[in-house]
Parts: sequence; structure tokens; C-alpha cells
Amino acid sequence: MKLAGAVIGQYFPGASVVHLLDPRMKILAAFAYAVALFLVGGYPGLILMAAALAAAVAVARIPARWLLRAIKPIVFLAGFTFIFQLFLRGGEVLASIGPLDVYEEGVRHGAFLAARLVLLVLSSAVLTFTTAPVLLTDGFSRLLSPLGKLRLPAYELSLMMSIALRFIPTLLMELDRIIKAQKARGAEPGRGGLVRRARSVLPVMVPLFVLSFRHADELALAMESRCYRGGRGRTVRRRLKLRARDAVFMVIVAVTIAAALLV
Amino acid sequence: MQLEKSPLPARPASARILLSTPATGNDPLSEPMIIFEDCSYRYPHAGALRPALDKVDLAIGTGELVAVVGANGSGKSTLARMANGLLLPDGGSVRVKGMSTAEPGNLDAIRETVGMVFQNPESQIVANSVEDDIAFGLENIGLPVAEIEERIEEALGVFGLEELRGREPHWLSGGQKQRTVLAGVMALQPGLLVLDEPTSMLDPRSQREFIDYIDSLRRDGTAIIYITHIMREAATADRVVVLSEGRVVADAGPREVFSDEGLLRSAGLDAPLPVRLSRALDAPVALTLEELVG
Repeated sequence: MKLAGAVIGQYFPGASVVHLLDPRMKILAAFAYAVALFLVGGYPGLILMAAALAAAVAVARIPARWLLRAIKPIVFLAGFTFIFQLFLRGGEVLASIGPLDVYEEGVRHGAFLAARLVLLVLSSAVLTFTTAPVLLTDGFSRLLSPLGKLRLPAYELSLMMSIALRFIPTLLMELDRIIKAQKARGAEPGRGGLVRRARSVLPVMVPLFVLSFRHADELALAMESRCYRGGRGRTVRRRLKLRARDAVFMVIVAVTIAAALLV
Repeated sequence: MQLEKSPLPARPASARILLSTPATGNDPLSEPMIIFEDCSYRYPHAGALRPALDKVDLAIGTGELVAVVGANGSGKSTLARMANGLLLPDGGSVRVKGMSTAEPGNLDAIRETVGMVFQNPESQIVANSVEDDIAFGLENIGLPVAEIEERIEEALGVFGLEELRGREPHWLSGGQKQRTVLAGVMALQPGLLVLDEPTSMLDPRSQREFIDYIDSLRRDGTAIIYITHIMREAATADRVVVLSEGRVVADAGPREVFSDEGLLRSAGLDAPLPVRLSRALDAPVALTLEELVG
């Protein structure tokens, strides 16, 4: 199935240790990783972080193709970040483009920022690649459950996330169908100049929105009919259990992050 | 629906999904499963010129399969949504096992009694796997974990979904999605099943399997409201209710309803093919091709 090249929220089935880890620990680790990325001061730390992620990717046997697809949406942003930083003053002048000088410091800093962005996206992609949507929402739900004590709708929040994940592939398939229907009528989405491209988005997005509202409406009826009444009095069917490997994993994560911040 | 083929072996509970209510048949003395009494409804938004339902009276007993037919906009879906209190009548009442849908305190019990299947299976699957979707309703009503697991196994078996238990919804075919939806609804062991054009998105083979399953449910005592615009399906029901502009214009056996050409025409409907054929041949009205040939 070709899904417009998007892999957000997609699961790469496998039986590796990374796949088997407790989803709660993976979510916490991904969160800590993201925070650490912004605290890391220089290249040695960043390289350590990248190496740790690469290790997880290797253990989980995620194909490079999947990683590339995950980065695709932010290539432009990362490239733009890099180019924008090039003209930062400092160090030697490496090259001159007309009146603009490219400094050594600019290249260093630009590459750092771009790499940080890519790692951020990859780390969350590795989380969704290695965690079945079911477990991901279970994990979130369990991590959010203390919020229930503060009278915040913890179960509803995790259900919202679960439904969002559930409908991403459905909506992508419908998007694909809409684009084909438009093409059959002679539309050329994604072609022409910027204005034309922007304008061609509208006839695709409007039907997609209408369809998603229809799904939402019907889903709400179906859920109510199946006795949905919020998180109150609901059975928690699957219990998550921490194992030794989860403890080992968290120690590795903590040591890596500490090392990355200190080097 | 592989119903007869794959029951769970030697598990005493395995027939419970089918035997959710005692098979009392069409006993006229027993309290009807659902009663619509003088039931009217007008959609609140602008442009609703006439009521969607106009003084509908209808009673359906256990083990009865009632087909509801009518042209687009005749009020079929509105009627379905009245059955479990998704919509409340403006006038008159709807009672399920004697409980009025207008009483908010009754809704939980009513929704456990009335199972609903809508047209598009895609937008009725809540969870990220077949198994978890079947569990959704069972978790909602707060059953103990052990019983939930038991009912899931049973539903997976009855609907031939064992192999697909962990499958994500977008990897299922249309027929498999419909079976998942039905499994999720039947796991709640409803006494009344309301089906709103459930086969409109299925291929002919899945349609036939679906009808066979519905038929076996009826025999086991479940009351069924079957909304359809496929007259061939309506012809297999015990009773056919014809809706036209929100009113019940006929409520009788399929033979009687489909013999009445004038009635069908005024309701914007066609008789099933065998009926039209027998009419063209000047033969007695036949509801099935077998009957016509024999």
C-alpha cells in the first residue's frame, strides 16, 4: 500500500529488544532524548546522542528507507536552517558568494542545528516504528493516569490520541483517492508555480475535511451505541509490567544523556 | 460469516453470543423487545420542512426479524437512532424492555440491550486492532478482565477472526471490517440488534454470508431491525415495515407487502426481482427465484 510517502505514526513490526521494551519507558526515553538534544552544547555530545539512536535503529533493524521517509517532511526546514546560519560571522572566511561571506563558524553552527532537528524527528520516528499503536496509547494512557487524580480527563486524552493514530492511514488512503479523482478531472496537484500549487491544495483539502467530519460523526454514534461513557467505571484490560530489560534500558538512556551533556 | 464452520470446540460458553436472549420465538404474550409509540421527530436544523418521523407505532418481539424499507429520506435512519436513545422523540415514546429512552438513567441499560451496526464499517472501528476493538464495548461496561477475554475469544471464533486478532483496521478488507464491527457489537450480547444498511458496502458474497448470520441470530431469539434498500434482503424478513415521508404505510408479511404494487410505487420502491418476474408471468407471487421455478 502506498500512502503518500508518509510514515507518521506508522509501526514497523518486529520482535527486537527495542520492540519489546515497555512502551512507557520508551515514551519517557524519547521525551528525555528530545530535551537533552536541546541542552547538548557541542558536537561531541551531539555525536554521542546520534550514536545512541543509531544503536537503537540497528538493534530494531529499521530499514534506512523508513528513516529517509521520516526525514523527508523536514528536509526543507533543515536545509533552510543550515543555509540561514552560513553567514554567521566568526572564524575564517571559507567562501564568498557575491557580497556575502561564508564563515567557518556559520557552517559549524548551521550543521549543528540541522543535525539536531533531524535527530529530533528520527528519535520520535523510532518510537512509533518500534511500538505498536495499541501499546503506544496504552503507554501514554498509563503515563497520563496521575492526571486523573487532578480531575483531568486522562483516559479521554489517550483515547483521542489512539483514535488519531487509528485514522491516519484511513485518511491518507482517502486523500490518495481524492487526488486521483481530481487528476481524473484534469487537475495537476503539486505541479506549476508556488501560487498554483497552493491553490491546487484547496480542492483536495476541502473534501478531506468533509470526510473526516463525517467519520467523526459516525464514530461518535458508534461509540455511544457501544456504551462509551468516558473513563469512569471502565475496565483496564491490559496491564503493563516492567521487566529487567526496561530497567537496563533506562540506565543506558540515563548514562548516555548524562555523558552527552557532560562531554 | 463462517458461523457453522468455526465454533469454539468444547467451550460451553461458545454459543452465548448467539443465545444472548432465551429463544421465546414470536410469543404474543411476552413483552415486546422494543415499542415505538406515537413516535415523532423533527430535525432541529433549518430546512426541516416535515417531520422525519410522524406518529410511528411499531412493536418488535424477541426472535423477530423486521425489515424496514423506504426511499431516501423516508425516516429509516432516524428510526434506527431512536432505538437506543441516540435521538429522542419529540412526541410519543420509545421503550426497550419497558425502559423509556427519555429517562437518562435508563440509557446505559438500553445501550447494553440494543446493538447498533451502521452503514460504513470504517468509521465504527475505534481501536487499533481487531481484538482491541471487540474489547472496547466490554471495557466500557466495566466487565471483569477474565470475562472480557472470554467474550473476545468467543467473538473471534464466531466471526472467524482468530487469525486477524492483532491486525490493524487499515489492513482489513471491507468484509473483515464489517465482521469486526459486528463482533464488537455482538460481544455485548444484545437482545435487539439494529442494522442500518449494513451490507451496502459489501460484495455479494459477504452480503450473503451476512444475511445467513442474521438469520441464525433470529432463530436464536435476538430481535432484529433490519434497515435496507435491497428488497431481496427484505423479502427474507418476518415482517416488512414500509416507511414513506416519516410514516409507516405498511407493516405486514413480505408476501403481502410486495404483492401490493400501488403501495410500493407510492413509497418509491420496487418489488424484488422474483416478485416482478412472477407478476410478468402472471404466476402467483414468489419471493425467491426457487419458489418461482418450483
